[in-house]
Amino acid sequence: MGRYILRRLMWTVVVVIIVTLITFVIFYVLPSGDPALRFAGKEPTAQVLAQVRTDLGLNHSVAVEYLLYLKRLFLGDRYGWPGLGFSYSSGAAIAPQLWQRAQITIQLVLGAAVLWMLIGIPVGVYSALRPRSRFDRASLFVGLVFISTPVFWLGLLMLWLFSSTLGWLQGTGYVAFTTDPVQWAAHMLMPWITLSLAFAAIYARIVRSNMLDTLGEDYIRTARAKGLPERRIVTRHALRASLVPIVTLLAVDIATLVGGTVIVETVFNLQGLGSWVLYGALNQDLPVTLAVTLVATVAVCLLSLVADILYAYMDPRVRPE
Amino acid sequence: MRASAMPPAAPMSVDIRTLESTDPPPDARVRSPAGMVWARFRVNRGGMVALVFLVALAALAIAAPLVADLVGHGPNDLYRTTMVDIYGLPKGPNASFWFGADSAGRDLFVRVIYGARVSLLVGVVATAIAVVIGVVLGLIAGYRGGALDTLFSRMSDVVLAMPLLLFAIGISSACSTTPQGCVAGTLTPGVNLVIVIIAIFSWPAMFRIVRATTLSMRESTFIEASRAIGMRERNIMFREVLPNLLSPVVVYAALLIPQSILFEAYLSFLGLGVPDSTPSWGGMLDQASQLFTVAWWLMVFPGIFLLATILAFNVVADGLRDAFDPRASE
Repeated sequence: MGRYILRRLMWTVVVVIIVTLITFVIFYVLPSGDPALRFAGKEPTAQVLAQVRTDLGLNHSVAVEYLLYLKRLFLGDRYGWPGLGFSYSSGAAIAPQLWQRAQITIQLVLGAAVLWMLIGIPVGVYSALRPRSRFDRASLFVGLVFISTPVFWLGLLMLWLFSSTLGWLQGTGYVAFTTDPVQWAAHMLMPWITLSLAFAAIYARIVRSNMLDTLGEDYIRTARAKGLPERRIVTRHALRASLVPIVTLLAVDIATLVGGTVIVETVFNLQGLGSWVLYGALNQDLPVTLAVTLVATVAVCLLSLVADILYAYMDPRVRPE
Repeated sequence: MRASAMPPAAPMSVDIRTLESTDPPPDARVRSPAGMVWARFRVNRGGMVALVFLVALAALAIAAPLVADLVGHGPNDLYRTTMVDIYGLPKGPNASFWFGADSAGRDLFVRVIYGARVSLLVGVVATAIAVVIGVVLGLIAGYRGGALDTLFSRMSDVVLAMPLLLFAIGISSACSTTPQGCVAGTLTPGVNLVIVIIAIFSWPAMFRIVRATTLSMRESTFIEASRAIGMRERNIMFREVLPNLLSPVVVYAALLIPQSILFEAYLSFLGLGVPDSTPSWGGMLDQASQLFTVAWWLMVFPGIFLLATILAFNVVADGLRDAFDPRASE
């Protein structure tokens, strides 16, 4: 098991190197414009432009820049370890802001995850217990509607309805939990719901089909034959087996969302990682984009490793070696 | 008669009535495989409604210039004096502007109809490219194995580990900073760029499905027989294995179309998709996000069309899955 984890961690490092390389290529080689021009003010002299290039570290070839970036990343720079550099547009170090913004995104994602599990699992279980019932059909269709709803449209609809028309909930923005817990919840509720509805539907579908499979197993029939109460069969035997694949899925979905909340953060004006990376991409602020991409990639790799370990722990059949 | 057409090995607990929907009509058994799938799909009421909706939408999209002529407003005609008030805010629906106007004073109804073109085009073409890449690489990786398999599989791993939307935003913004685009001018901002981006990020899932299915099929007797009679490898892959992949490929491709449409809408919403002169639902909703408190129609009409189209594709995909594998729906 130790060797397996080590191998996976090394693969993570490889993926990080590949992904940063791709990011570099996308932002250095693809665009036709010179990034230094953007930060050199209006009509810069050649001297100013050269100075800006040196300041931003754009005076080397792409290959050298990339190797320097990797070196700073793994060995640290003047802002500490890992060396993420400074933002081209603000000149401030990346790391502190990254941490601050990550907290907002993590609150958003974890809150949404709790919500979609609370909705998805009971609905899935209840549907599986009465397949083809009116509830089952209705929940499948409503779920399909949620899956088909564009997140930004749902967010706008909710803002329109609950914030500007009915005035029940606060609009956009973020209030720290430590500042005012009630305001924090009031501001996070709509982003959570917006982010979670499609996932709730997907999880309900998966739990339903897992439960249906499990309920057809021999050991469930045995449990029934033993005369166990149905409630106990469902909660202790069937549900437990049905939730094992959910754990893997949950870890990967949360990891994907670390970099995937761009839309929700934009609609609700939350200053998290997603809105930052959009800013970085639109303004050619490469260190910002690189930093968020890195965090998102590492999150995907590490959490899928955690998921695989958890899975092996819960289901001995898939243990490596 | 009906009982004999029941799927084999139906679980005892299945309610007899529920089998009606998957039960092919008696004449279905003499048909081709495609005919049988169609016969099973046809009895799916929801699927048929969705299909009819999509056909109607496609017809409207093709006939968009005709619609514009009938209404009398082009998609980029400006009606600033009549449809924008003195504060620069657009006016709502009326007798000649059925869906109201946008902030530039353009007819929203005509633009919504034109928007169907972008969504359907991107959905179908991006999916087609992703399917071709995924199927070809998957067949080769699954059938040949070896170094190519390792290469393609690692490639798909990396793409799947990449934060998809971030890279899409990155490529799109990198290629949209100047009208010349990127990659020496081969990719200019617009529909083509969006299609390429979506295809790049959509093929790995298709690749994995095709590779896994091919891998399991490689050892089956009919493939062994083809090898024994000296059939060439390429012919075995594309003439023998490929037709047997039809069901997973079709079902997954049907799921990819709504995902691609959604992807395009996200990019256009962030201002990174198609340019404003090409009407797209995501782009209209981007404008709505600034104005939804005063101009509800900007949000409601494009949004409903977008939702209905994606939902219809998803319903058809569900129906196709059930039609290909009647037992999967249980």
